[in-house]
Amino acid sequence: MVEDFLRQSPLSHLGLATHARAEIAADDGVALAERPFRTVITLRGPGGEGAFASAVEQASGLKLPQEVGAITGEAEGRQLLCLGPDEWWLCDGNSDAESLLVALEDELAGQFASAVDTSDNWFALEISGPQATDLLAKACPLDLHPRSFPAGRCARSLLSKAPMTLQKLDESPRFRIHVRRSFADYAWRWLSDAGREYGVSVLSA
Amino acid sequence: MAQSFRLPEGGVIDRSKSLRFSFDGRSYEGHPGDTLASALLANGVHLVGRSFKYHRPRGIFSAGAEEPNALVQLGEDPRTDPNQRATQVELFDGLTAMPQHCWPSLEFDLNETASLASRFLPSGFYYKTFMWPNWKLFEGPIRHAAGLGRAPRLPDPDRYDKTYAHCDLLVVGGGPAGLAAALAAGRRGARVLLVEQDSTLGGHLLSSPDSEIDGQPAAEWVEAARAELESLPEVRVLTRSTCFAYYDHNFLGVLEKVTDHYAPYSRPQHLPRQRMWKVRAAQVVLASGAIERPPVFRDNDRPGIMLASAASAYLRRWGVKPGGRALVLTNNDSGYRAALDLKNAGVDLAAVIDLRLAAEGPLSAQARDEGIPIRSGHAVTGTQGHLRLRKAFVAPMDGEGRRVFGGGEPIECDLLAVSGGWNPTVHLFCQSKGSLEWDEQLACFRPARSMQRNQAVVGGANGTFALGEALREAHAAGLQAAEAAGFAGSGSERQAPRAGGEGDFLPLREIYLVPSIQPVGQGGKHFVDQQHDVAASDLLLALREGYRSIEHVKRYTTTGMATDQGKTSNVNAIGIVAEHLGKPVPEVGVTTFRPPYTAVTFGAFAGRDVDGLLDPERTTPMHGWHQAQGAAFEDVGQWKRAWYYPRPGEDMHTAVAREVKATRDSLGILDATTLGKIEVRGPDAARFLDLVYTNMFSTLKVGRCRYGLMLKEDGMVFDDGVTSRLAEDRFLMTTTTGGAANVLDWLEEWLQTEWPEMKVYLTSVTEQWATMTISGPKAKALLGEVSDLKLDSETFPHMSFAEGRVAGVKARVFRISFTGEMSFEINVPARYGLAVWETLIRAGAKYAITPYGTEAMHVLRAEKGFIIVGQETDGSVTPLDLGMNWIVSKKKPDFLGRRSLFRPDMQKPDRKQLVGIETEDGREVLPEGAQLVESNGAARPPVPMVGHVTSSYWSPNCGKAIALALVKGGQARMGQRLYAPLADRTVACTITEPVFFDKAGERLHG
Repeated sequence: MVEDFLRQSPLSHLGLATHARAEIAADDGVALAERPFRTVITLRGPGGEGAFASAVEQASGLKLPQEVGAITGEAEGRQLLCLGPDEWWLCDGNSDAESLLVALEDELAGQFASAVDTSDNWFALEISGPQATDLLAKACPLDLHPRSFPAGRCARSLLSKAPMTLQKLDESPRFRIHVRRSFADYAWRWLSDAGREYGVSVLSA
Repeated sequence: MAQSFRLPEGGVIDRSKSLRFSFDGRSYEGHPGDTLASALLANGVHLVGRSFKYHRPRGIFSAGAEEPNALVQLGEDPRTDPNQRATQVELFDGLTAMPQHCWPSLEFDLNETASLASRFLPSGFYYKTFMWPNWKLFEGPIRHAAGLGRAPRLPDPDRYDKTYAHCDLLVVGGGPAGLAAALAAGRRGARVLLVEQDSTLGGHLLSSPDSEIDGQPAAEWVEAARAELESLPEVRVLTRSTCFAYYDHNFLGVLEKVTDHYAPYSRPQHLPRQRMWKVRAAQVVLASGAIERPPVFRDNDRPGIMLASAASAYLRRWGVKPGGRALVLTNNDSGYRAALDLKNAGVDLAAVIDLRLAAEGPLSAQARDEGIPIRSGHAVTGTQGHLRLRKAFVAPMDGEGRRVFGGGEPIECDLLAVSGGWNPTVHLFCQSKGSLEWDEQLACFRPARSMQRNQAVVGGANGTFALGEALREAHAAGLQAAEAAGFAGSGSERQAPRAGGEGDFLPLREIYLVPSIQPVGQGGKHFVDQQHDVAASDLLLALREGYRSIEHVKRYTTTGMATDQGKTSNVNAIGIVAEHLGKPVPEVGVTTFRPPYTAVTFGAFAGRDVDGLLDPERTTPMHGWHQAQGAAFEDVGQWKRAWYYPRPGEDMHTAVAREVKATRDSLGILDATTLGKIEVRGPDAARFLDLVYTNMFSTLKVGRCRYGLMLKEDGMVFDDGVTSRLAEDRFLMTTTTGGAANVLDWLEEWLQTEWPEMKVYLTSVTEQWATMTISGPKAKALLGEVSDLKLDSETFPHMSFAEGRVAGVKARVFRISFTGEMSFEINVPARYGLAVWETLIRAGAKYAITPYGTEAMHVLRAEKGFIIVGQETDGSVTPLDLGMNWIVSKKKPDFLGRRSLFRPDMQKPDRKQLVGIETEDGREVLPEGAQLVESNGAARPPVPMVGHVTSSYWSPNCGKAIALALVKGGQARMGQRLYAPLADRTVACTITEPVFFDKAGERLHG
């Protein structure tokens, strides 16, 4: 698609690819990776096991999580994040938003619900490494201990002064955060600075 | 220089290494493990500073956080810190410190004459000068003479860190009690955070290494505890970390000094200098220990006078003799610990002066057994020695302890170790609003009633002074905290650590003001607060002048208000006031404890939120392009918006004039990405918009756009923007850049709290879209070339939108205009923003496409008389005031602000109304904010203000200066003359219609 050649990450000015690695360096405590161009569809609708839930399941192939903070699906594939009593994100690392959106619109026809493409409204990056939790704790007031925030959970919070959506992908630990696109540069610079004491590896996107 | 006062052995110092440091320009040596104070004392240096008000010579008084006197200026600009307690500064190689507040030198300070004039500088002197004769006479000299250290002059080069932390249990204090509590909870698997202000764990055990715990010497027990805590995966121990604040709901502040103990040249570059921990603790155990209370006697402030516990600490922890010939003054058994330690270290001990009628207690007995001379029922009535204590005077007291007999026998000594009992360190407990009770037996304030859930106070901080008892109490508190946090016991748990020496804390004799031969205030000073130079006579003066509340006495005399916050003085002040008023101590009560416990540098509060990270700088997908073009940027909220694009040699005025002209002559392009965008969806979307906008949206056809004005309930303009109907049940609302978040909050608030029955969902899509506006006579031509849209006015009329491809990318294009020219607002997903923008620039080159910034946008819209919310409006302007009656629906039964809008006062003809302003000579651009009056300057004040200028520009398209203004009754004043009085002249101007260019609006249609 011609569009793939035209698109640009909000961090393109940092030239991250030039020093990106495949894995975290042995003496670094944290690793940062940008995850641009992910699909994020914001779903609004009534909670519960009714028509909305089955329409979303039909279109996405995923159960609609009912508890705020719960996630269904696979970290690397398609996921549904429950972010509020009537708000979800349908995230996907591969397929394009448009076909998903069409499927959702079809299934949701006639319902009081909303599916809006917000893929470009948000920007994702991942924090991993043995000191990822310590790094994130500098920016986020939530308790990130595995007892309080285990892998497979999500939450809305702050990354210092930027609103964020946070997921813990695994207990290695690895976190994925979404900030609004215009905050990408701030979030990246903030985390790079705060991570200095641990050593920061930049992983390829 | 030899460390002539260093004992040949003993102490927790590394004698194998020497550290060089300088104080007051002189070079000394110490060892790792020393504080600046212990190293100075090892070199025989007691005199370290001059006092705040009287410039009296002062020495090292304590060995910890309570130090009132030994404040130094540490390091050099820009890495200099004022008011650092030498007793807590860890020694490092190359440390430099200077005494504060003395001139020309520490030994000879000219301002010491203030001491001679002290009878004319009583407490409240400062306040009295406000009344008479004149504060200004005194301000200069007082500001010069009083004070402490100085702030750095250069920007702070260090980096600071902040972090949040959560734990099941926060233990404050790493002494025996804190360790016992942390071990008890940590062994059960609870997440424990232990914070200790000292560089090493152990607390007072560091000064009494031969105490025994569980049959081990204390030092070994501490080491074993440290090792065990470190082996527990859920336990974190922070040394050099002071818990300085305790807020509601177990939220506490901890300052960790990460690299302060390194020489500046060897500080690990990757580490921050200090770290602020913001701790949320499920449970808190305060094991903050106790601080010794000094007795108040005449001239009790000379270098060489120190707390008895400090004398012991210097001897035992640091192997330093704090003097050559010592005297001890005490009112309790614990003072004898210092006497025994001094004697064992080979210090010549003159005597123990015991204020009690009879010396009793195990330590007293031991001292007597060891042949230490004891004079019970005696007092120290005064001291001598200018830069160092030389002698003390001792006399017997009467039975009440109110008077002394005889002239006082002089005793030669260069060290006077004093003990007046112990105060539990209740600062954090009290900050958390816990209340205290007066313990008659121990003569101290102890924690009584906690105001936080899940809080315990143990050990010395709880008035539990005996080691064995403190360990048991702390262990139990640790277990209870673990239990409450959900960590049950296994049944095979270790018992509380055991130690001897229980119940050896005997009653003391409560004498707060030790009598001297002359009455208080004569012949010398009984200092209560040494750091603020407040003497007992000052307290008595305050009482004589009618102050009764201890809070008032504190503020009038400033006792307890110095940087040490009265750690050694507050209870003495309360005791003296109580005694004088004939009231029991608890009836006088305590003053309020406030954070911080010890001072915290501003850098730590700021953390990394400084310079480039002070606040998020939000940028659009085209930001890099604007930068490459040399754009100047304007802050709009957190956004960086291109303001204007100066070409070489252009100033702002020329650049803006060129951009404005080019747009009207041919083609301009604006980055409008920052406009707020909200998708409004649901069957009730149209009804909802009818309620939040003043005009009608339910009549808007699909595919069309309409401008709307939003009011608050008070009828005042709140936001504006264009809303488009994407589908029957789906709208795209745009908002102002600065108002985007507020508008979404406002709409959500109405939906969630007032109209929950409405079926509407809102989704913010501000950043989904990169928005670029092409505007000008060539806009249609350019868009035709780069898009597949049909642009004829039938298919794509003004105020409509279309979807298609622009530069190969799927786009939403809106034909709306904020310039009065034919304009297209092109929206593409943000990832393609730059690519599409660059295509437009390339393709537009033949039309001389000119990027214009927000300033040119302001001029262009002002030429058309379009308002900007926040510029023409300020929260007190209605649509009627703006002449926008046309947008206020008369048909709708209701909308937000309607009721207010139609109240009689809002309809008054003399409200400030929007008008245009032209200056008489046509060239003068009025400053925005200029006031407008009716007279040309001849009238005598007060001259009524009739309005003010809200926007003002040079309009290259009109060839004259134009302005918008809010003027009382303005709409009925067309053609009238007004005046703008400026600083140096008055400008005559005329009221006009607020539309200056293309009044018929023909250019919109090309």
